[in-house]
Amino acid sequence: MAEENAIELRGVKKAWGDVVAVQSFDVEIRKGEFFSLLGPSGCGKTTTLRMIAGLEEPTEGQILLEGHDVVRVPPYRRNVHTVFQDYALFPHMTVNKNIWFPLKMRGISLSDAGQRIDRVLRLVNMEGYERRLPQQLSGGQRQRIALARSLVDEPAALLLDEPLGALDFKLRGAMQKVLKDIQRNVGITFIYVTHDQTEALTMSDRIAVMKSGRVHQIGTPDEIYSRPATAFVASFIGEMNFLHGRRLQAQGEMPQAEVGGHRFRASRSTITGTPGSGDEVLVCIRTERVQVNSHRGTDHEVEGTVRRIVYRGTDYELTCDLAGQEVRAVVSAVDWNPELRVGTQARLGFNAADITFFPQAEEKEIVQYTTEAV
Amino acid sequence: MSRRNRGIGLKAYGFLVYFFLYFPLIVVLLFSFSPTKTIVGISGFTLKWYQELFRDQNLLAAFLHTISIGAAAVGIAVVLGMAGAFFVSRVHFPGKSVFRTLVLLPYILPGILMGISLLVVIKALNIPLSPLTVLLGHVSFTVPVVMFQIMSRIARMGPNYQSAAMDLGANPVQTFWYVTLPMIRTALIGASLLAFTVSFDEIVISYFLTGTWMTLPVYIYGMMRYGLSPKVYAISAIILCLSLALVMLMSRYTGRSADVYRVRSRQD
Repeated sequence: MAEENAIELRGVKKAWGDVVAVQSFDVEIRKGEFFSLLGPSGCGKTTTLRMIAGLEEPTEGQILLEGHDVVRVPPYRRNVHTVFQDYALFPHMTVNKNIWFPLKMRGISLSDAGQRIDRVLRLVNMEGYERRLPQQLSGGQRQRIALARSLVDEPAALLLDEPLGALDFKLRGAMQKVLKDIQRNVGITFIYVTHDQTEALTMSDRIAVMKSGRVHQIGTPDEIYSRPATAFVASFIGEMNFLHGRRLQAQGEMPQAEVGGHRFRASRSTITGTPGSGDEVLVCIRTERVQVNSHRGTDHEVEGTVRRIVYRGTDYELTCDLAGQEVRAVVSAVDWNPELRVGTQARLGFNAADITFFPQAEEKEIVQYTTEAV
Repeated sequence: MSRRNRGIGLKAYGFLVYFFLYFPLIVVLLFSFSPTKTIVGISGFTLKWYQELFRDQNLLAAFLHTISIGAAAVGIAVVLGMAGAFFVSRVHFPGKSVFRTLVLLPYILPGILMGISLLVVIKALNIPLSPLTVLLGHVSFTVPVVMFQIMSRIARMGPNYQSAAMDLGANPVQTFWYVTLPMIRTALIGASLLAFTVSFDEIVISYFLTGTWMTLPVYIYGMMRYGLSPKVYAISAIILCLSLALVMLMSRYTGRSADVYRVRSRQD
């Protein structure tokens, strides 16, 4: 149903000469949805946002705003607003005049706009700042005013380009909650560009994970986290072990692979086609899903030598050697057994339900900040 | 060496430099009030050279010519220079970086070169020398001055404010009027003042392109042929004060301090 979607992208592509910034993006974003575009820098997320805003023209494809194709519509006639990373508050206008700007462009006088300006200032909790100039505000305050300015004429969607990128860590956490609350209150569709996986996971209804212009997966935070579509998604979000294995002849329903002489069954495999025995595969399991010296029974148990222990406050990260490959496991500080030390043997338990196989070919797409990489 | 004496050499050197630069100006200022015609020995105070100055109809006419040429040249330079600055900042074309570096060339080139080149072209086109040819000469170096100032302001400003304005519903005309123009306003004023000052002093190009219609510097140059009249001191003193006022005004609008957009927030 077209009217239920705030924004729809159909085969949207953007290229500058031979350089493809975004390749064939298809998505339907529902009204009132908090939708994130997540990916490392240069993945095409900002370009996608700018195409929706009308600041870039797609090379191919259609962009539908509330059911109408807007590819040829200039930005000032599109019913969406952008919150820029540097806020772009007009430095020669007071807070009041900045927020009035979109209304003024629609021919509404400052006195008629007064009530709406007050309401939106209350929404972002910035009453009393009307007469200030942007340079008299802190980063977080400018952020709120930029938000107010974009919300005052109730657009169909708000496009946010890494709006919290310039803020420090603590303030970012607070602003995440503010943003999410505001979005719930006004019920406007938010399209949120970020490279921060935590931000995307905690705030979004759905996330599109992108890399090098390609959309790897679109799904809810839970789907993205627990059922990553590609090895890249698996590596970009959360902490994942990637082990090199060899495909074994399946016994029963589940695909199987061998890692360092051990047989592992996987509940999921993204490998398509008929797998040959002996093909290389990536055997993946989240670090927090690896059980260490657990009393609960697991599907597979192997012995590994402890190589490194890192204390991280709420938990420990344990790196073990499993037949020449590193397996990382995260153990809650509450369950920590102090007898585990570097050089000792640890019993590592894996459940088939937590294991996914990815094609070996996807290994080059993995983003991982392990100690070897640094 | 004690703390107090530290850097005394540098201070003395600095003083000498400034003395060297400004002593002649002070001398001119003093002599413009001296009753004797000679350079040595000032005795008494007089305004007679100033009075004579204001009786000299030719000189007054030349002064007015200079002002009007300056105003017209600045007016044209603002329009052309601003358009040029936006063109260079927004449009990509081959050889852009070369063009960008060559923008100031007509201003930097020796005036004699610009003067001769313009004269050759004007003669070749059979255009008679007139106030318009002088204006043409002045436009040739005021446009680069304005364009350069606006270009650097646009570069510092970045494209985001324009994108934001468009995004918030302003069409290109509204974007220019409500956002771009107020944001480059100070640079525009500063550039106009600078261009006017440059035009006011200009002699070489004007000399080539002027017929009988003389600007003030050209007229003064002519006066000098009959020896240094104290009238010249008087007019120099006036020009000096005018230039000082312009420079002080200009410093408010150009340079770093202008980046802080000091805008009187009108009460609404």
